[in-house]
Amino acid sequence: MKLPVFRKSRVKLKRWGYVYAGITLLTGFAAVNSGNNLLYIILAFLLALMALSGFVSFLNMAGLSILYVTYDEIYAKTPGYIKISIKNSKSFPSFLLFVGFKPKITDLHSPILYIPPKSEKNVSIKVYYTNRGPWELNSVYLYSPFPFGFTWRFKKLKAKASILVFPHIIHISGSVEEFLRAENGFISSSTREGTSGDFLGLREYQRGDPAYRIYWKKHKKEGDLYIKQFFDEGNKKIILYISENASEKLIERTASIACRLLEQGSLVGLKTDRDFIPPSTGRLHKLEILKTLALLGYG
Amino acid sequence: MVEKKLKLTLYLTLSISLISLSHALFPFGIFLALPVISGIYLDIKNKSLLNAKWTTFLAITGFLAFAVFAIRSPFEAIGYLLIYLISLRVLGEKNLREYKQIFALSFFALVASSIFHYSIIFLLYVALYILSGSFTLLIFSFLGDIRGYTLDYSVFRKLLKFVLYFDFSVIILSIPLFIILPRSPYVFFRAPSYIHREIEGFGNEITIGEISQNFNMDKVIMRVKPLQHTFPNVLYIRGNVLDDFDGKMWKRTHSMPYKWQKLEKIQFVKHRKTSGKYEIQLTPMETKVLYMVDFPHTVLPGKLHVFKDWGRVISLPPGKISRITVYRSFNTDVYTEELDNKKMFLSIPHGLESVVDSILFVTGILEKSDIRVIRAKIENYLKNNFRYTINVSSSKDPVKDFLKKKGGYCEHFATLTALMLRRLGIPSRLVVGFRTMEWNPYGKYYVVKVKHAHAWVEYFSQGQWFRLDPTPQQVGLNYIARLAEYWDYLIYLWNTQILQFNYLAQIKIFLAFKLQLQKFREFKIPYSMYPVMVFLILLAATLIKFFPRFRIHPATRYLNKFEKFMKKRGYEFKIGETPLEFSQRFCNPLIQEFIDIYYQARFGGVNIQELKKLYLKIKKTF
Repeated sequence: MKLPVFRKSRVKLKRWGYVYAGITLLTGFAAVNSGNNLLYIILAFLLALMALSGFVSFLNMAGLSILYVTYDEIYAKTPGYIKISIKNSKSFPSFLLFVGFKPKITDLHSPILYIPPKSEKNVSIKVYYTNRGPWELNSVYLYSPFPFGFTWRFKKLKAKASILVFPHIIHISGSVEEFLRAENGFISSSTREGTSGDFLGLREYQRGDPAYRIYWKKHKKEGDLYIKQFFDEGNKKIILYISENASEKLIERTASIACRLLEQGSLVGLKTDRDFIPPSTGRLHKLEILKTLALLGYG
Repeated sequence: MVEKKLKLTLYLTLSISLISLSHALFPFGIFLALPVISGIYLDIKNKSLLNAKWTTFLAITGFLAFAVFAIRSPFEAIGYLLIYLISLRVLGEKNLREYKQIFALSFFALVASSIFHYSIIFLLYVALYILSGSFTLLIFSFLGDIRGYTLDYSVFRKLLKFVLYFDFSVIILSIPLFIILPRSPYVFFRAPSYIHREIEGFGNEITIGEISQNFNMDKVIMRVKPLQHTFPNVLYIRGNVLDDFDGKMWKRTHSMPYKWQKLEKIQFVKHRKTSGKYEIQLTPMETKVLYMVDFPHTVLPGKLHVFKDWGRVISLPPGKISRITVYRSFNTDVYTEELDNKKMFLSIPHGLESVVDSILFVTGILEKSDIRVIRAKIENYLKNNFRYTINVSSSKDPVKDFLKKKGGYCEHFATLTALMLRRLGIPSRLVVGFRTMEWNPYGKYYVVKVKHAHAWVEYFSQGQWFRLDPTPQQVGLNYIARLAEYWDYLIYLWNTQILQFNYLAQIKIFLAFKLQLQKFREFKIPYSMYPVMVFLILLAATLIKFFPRFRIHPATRYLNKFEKFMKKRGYEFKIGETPLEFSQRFCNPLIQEFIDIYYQARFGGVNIQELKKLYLKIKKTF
């Protein structure tokens, strides 16, 4: 059971702290019983160090606030990073700060070692969301063992930020068609000839065909000229449809397919019951599709 | 892999505590600390001598060996055991945990050294330990809590700066803490003294002409503070009284009590010239005996009373550290007594009668002369015919040698005087003790050193013993070097205010504080003063508000105008931007020149008119 004062100020004694307190008590006992003033000097130093380390630890946390919270792309069920900018508005520097979302020691890998007075520092925190959708970030916890590692001191900082978590993306290694087939779905594909899609077959050389498309190995064996045929995927225009009541699994798959198709250079659009995103390509377009999918069903 | 920076700071901390302990356990402590030095060297080279099994085995065997030693001297054994354990840890394989153990052991070594220490140097050791130790703790905190982190040099420097400020605050805060920490009137564990370096005092036998040169002549034995306004230039402190002289050696044959006795049949005589109270402060742990100023009749504290035929000092309880060494010697009055064994103080060694008679004949002293005349004649004779020197070789007949060579030191002068007085039928004896003229003006006390050891004569007349010092005084009041005086005063304060600080002193401080608080509470401001106070507060507030305006520099005034002007033109100073930075932002030579001239006018003393001209030029141009 924690003492009330500890509960209020959110201070947790570390093992070093217990050892230090024990040594101080022992020295005090020896000093009182021996009347040796030199021991009293050591005891006075120990107590002064203890009191001031508490005060410094408090001061280390004072005057800190969250300036802004940013993030890049966070997907459900995948570790992501949130960038938090912490401002030190006091006239003293702050040392050795860890950042977390709970009053609990979670990550000891990426501390802020030093924030000079009247300045700010950024830190990236690892996050993991299980579900897609909008998340509200109301507070961030700072914790520090500074100065001597006797205690962990926690401080709650207000942070008003909403984080949009995109649906989980499944890794599609092969073609989208194969993936859909495996998932009992289908995709209607055009037979228009292209150069970058999947291999379609061979046909006889016709006048006007570029020489680089001639299949020379076949020509060596059989003597006739053949041309390699491919699907025209690069310029495919695909519109994905998804209902508002779609299951999470379906949303995940739609997002994965959209990402994969966009990666392959297809023009992907999205149609829901409410919105329609015309087929396009590019990162911003991808983010728009993912945003729509992330908010699907949230009204 | 533990960082080199941590090792260096940790070993610095360890060295401080080891030096402190080795200093206390000199000389054996030094030998035991030698493996630690080699261990540190090996560790810096990332090598270790002992594996975990060997370390445990040696620790257990060492512990048992020291446990046997502890039966005889437990505290010393603890000190040696600590040094031994530290050397094992330093020589063994180490990780962050073991380094933390070394740090804890270094702290225990510092605590152990406090048992044997008493000198002011200990304070220096503690202060250095706090400085180095807190820095080590800080690095432990950084390296222990961040996984896979190496301490950057820039952070290291910032931490060092922080520690300096922090430790200064620790030292300041520890002063009131030292005063208010609870102290008990009952002491249960008193550490015995095993370091036999006490000054034994004067013996019961003294051979004339044999001076021991084996001790430090400048070693301070005690400091004597007069508690009254008037005090003599030369202070005499009694050590022992010797009555029998066999031609070469003075012996003490009369009563040799070892306890203080309460005297009931003493008749005290007011003797204002020699009266006084003195506070005697012995060097802690080193002086084993109590010395008294002149003819004391009361000694504080406790159950000590004056003892008849005073002249023997009391030994302090053997084997105990004499931390409390301040006592007071009162000799407001001189007591009269009857001499029981007069013959004892009149005996002269066979063969010396004729020698003394011839001197008495030369000096013209008659047996029936007044004592004051006798004194004066003896003093004059010795002063005019003999010189003071300590370069005297040992001889079989020191008195005859002294007369032949016309030179000697205090024992020779006193012996001859005592013999002359005895031949005249005046009971006399030799007193050995200290004669000091060394006065510390800052602490207002006499310093008594080994070199102040002295011998003089006491003669009995009209029921009292009187002092007669025939040895010529070398110098008057001796003013020692100022720095040495300051240092000695510091030691005096350390001994009296720190080492002997106890619950009584605490009560005194608390009562004084209470009194001050009471005075403060009783202090009431009269109602008539209220309007004046309100006026003063308002005046102060007004001055604080408008003061900067009155003191504004003319150059700054033009800069402010320039700033306003630029703002109107759409070029605003950024927050925290200096004029120089502002000018660098613009590549306009006119603005740059203006700012340059501004700096010179503001700090370099260039005429303000130039700045004004430039300002007007800028106004026209833009």
